[in-house]
Amino acid sequence: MSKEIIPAGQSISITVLFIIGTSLFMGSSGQSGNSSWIALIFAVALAVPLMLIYTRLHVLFPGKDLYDMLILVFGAVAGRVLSCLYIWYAMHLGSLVLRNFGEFSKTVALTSTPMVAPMLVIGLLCVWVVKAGMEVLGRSAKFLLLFTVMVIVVIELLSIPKYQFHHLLPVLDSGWKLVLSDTMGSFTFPFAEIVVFLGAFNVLPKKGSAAKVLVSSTMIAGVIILQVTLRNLLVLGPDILSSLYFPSYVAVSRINIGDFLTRIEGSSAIIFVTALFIKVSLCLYVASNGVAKVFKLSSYRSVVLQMGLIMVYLAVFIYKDIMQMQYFAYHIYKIYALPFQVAIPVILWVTAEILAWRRSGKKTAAQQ
Amino acid sequence: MKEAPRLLPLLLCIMMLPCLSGCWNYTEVDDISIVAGVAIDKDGANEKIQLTAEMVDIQGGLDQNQAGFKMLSLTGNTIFDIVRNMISMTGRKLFWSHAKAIIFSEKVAREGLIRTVDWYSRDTETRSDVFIFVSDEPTAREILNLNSTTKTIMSFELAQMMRDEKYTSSAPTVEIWDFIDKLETLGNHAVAPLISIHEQNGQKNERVSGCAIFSKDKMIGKLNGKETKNMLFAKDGIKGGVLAVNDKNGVPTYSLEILSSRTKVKPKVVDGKLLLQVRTVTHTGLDEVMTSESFSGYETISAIEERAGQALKQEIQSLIRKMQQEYHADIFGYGEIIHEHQPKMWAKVRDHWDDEFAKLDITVDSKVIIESSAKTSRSIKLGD
Repeated sequence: MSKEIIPAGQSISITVLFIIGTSLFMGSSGQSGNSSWIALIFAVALAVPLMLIYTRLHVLFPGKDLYDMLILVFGAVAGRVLSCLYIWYAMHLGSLVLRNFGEFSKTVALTSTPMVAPMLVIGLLCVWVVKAGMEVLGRSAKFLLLFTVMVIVVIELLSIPKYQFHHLLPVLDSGWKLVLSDTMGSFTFPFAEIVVFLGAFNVLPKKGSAAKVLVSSTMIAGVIILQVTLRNLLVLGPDILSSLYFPSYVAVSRINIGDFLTRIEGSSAIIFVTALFIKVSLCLYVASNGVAKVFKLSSYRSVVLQMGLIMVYLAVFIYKDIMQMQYFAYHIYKIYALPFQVAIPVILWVTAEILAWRRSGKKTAAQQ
Repeated sequence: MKEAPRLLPLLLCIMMLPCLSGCWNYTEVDDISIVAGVAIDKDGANEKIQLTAEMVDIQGGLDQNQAGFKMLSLTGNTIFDIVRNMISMTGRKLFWSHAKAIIFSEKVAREGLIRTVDWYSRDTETRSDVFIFVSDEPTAREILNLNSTTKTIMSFELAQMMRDEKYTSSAPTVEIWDFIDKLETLGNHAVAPLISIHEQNGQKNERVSGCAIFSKDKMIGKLNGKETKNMLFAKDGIKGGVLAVNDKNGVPTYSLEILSSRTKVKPKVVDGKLLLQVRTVTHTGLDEVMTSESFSGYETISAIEERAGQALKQEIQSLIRKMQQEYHADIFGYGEIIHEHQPKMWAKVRDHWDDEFAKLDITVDSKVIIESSAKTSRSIKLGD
């Protein structure tokens, strides 16, 4: 079968939606109260060098994805073990996101529908789109991103009457320590989660610039998340914000334009679903792709359905309740995710650089 | 074997039918009882909570042009317990999204509102933009029961009243949301409007005027309508209303309609001591002159302005004094302002803010500006 290549615009759309996916309704980690927006800016600044490392990997191994790189650099056995770790990470991340959505629909939208029903429906949709291929995903992402950004901007404008700017004062109320801790939180979730996209690097054009995709999507997603966080902060204030599971939903429910335009939070929840759909699909694709690479399958398509169902099932039993979910997302995840997001890619990069340097050294030696 | 691929889509379609019809939690409008408002009392005998719900009766029929109402009352241990048990009386699930008012009895308020307010803000069936009130009568339910004499849905009428409150400014408008927000912020005490039954010539009406003061979540005192207006002046909450001004002999003569008002609060640290400057600037229109003596000429207008400003300043000052000395309660949110502008100073006083507030040096300065004199340029002249 032919190789799938998607243009830069579409991969930017995928990565932007991927990054903002959960943050749209979960919000970013907010221990630092009214300084969380500072933490967000730091997190974006931290994420950019990491993106450059990821891009360098694409330059060193054009047309290869993360699993190919791991196997090439660390050998057949060690490379496969590390690949398995990444398959787990992608699977797990997909399940977490699905579960977030499940909890969301269970808590606010469809309270008496069993949680598994919406998760299964979205899960099957993701299986379908991943089976159809990355090109389909890319095109739908491009359309959905437009739609999402439009909705976010409209809601932003509608909430302006509810803004209370004094919520931002005093700046840095909680001190630098909490801001730095929040920076770590926002860095690992959501920005550095983009490491999953490494597993789909084979869809980037060989000569194309991965830097353009990764850095620009980090910037765009950073601006969107910053805007949403600021809106929540200005509308709700830091004290209440910290007690809510789904701050964006509540912030939107506060909108009241002349007693006429009210209760629009239900409609705004649509964008949560679109962003989440892209995020889960990418996770599913990367996990299936990994299985195909590790077991040398001819195509990843044969395992998509199985992986998708496992993902949904994992999402059902991964947490006991919403309290556990929140604790994991804000406290454990930032430590758990670091090896996947930073440690392994950096080791891979350093080793690959050494290998490449040696090879070029040999080449020049042979020429002489 | 060849048949299978053709049958499969058909099978899938049949399987999807029950899922896609959207009937999972399908509810017809006549299967629910729409709640308009609730009153929460303490049942005297056994210290249980009594909840009275006013519900919209949608089975009015075509001959009635106004929706009817139904009352329901039940006691229990927790609010949610009562809410669910009400099904055994209505046979239908209560629908909360349209509720507009919660009235607490004074007794419930004095014992602490956290106990009763939490369900309403936590549950997903309710919305947090409902107005809250504290009843000035012995019970809260008798206010809702007024609907039998006024023949209207009381809760919706109260909500309408809150929407028009900006023209009188004699009570704060408090949504349950703001209330909880105030409870959670340090350096701010919550208030809630007081509601009473106004009886004149045998005609009973509900009346919202004045407010209840809370310390933490417990009610500690009341302010009347006039004091409430001054409180709103002191915390930049005035949107409208009327200022009555005396003439130079002390007889109430002029009415100024408040067009807009701004209050600026400036915390200052002088020699390590906290100082608070409250400045109000009110733009008004002269709307009533109860005398035939002319106010022509700039001189007199500025004299009215001056007198109104002085009176307002004194009233605000005496209210602040009262809050400092009697209640030790910072209902103006000054603590929050100090927190925002003087974080270092705030760190020192935050733990004993109530005492600190009682000792705080607060200066008030009020300015009233008359911008217009409505339709006529002079007072009515007496001809012979």
